Amino acid sequence: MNLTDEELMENFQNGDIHSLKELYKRYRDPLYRFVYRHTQDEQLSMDAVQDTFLKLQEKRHYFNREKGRLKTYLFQIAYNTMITKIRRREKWSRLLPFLYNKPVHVSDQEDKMDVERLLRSLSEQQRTVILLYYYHDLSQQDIARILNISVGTVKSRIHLAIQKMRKEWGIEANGKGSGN
Amino acid sequence: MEKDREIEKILKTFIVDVPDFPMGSSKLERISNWLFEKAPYPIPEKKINFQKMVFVQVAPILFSLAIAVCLIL
Repeated sequence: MNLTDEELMENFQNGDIHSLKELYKRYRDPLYRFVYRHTQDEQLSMDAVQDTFLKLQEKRHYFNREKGRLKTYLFQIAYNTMITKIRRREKWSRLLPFLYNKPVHVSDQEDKMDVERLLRSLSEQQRTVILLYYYHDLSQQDIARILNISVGTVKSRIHLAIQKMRKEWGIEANGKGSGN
Repeated sequence: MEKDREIEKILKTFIVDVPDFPMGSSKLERISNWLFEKAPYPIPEKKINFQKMVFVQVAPILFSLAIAVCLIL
């Protein structure tokens, strides 16, 4: 029987550990990909996903399916965890720069490298909305909930990011897409 | 607001392979992962020129001399 995420979460809230394992199986990859595309740091991405599930276990009773989907809830935890880790790393790298290396950017495909570079050229806020919108098929309402901002702000960040990417890629505006 | 299909097509070329890792790991495992993390290969990132090469070769000698002078005095 294929249970929905929310049903699995409900089972987990009632003490079923197998439901948590099933949720991990479903969300490990998307969450890892989200954090990795944002940070391009393998170790940080793994730590962020593990911490997300640790927090999910600790705060299992805060989830209420009437308030929103589990997917949104998990991405919200992952996003907050990632931002905390990035800030912490920045602080430590300022104090002890020799201990921190920039992530290695070695790609076997030229296209992939270009996309990585393109994403890095966006501001942190723009990158987050682009990743959630284009890679994880989250609605603008869901993104607004994850980032705790208004839908209008989400729209404007997507619009600005698209403009920047189109300029970087040399794609001419043709009337479709971001602004419409 | 519909998605920009051209941008979407480009973005989708960024495929991420997910390593196999468990749901939880101990503090010790995390520290060891961090310590033994893949180190970047520095040559393509940094431009090595003649002055830097000389500095890299001479700096340890100068440093040793400075320590020796400090110990003698």
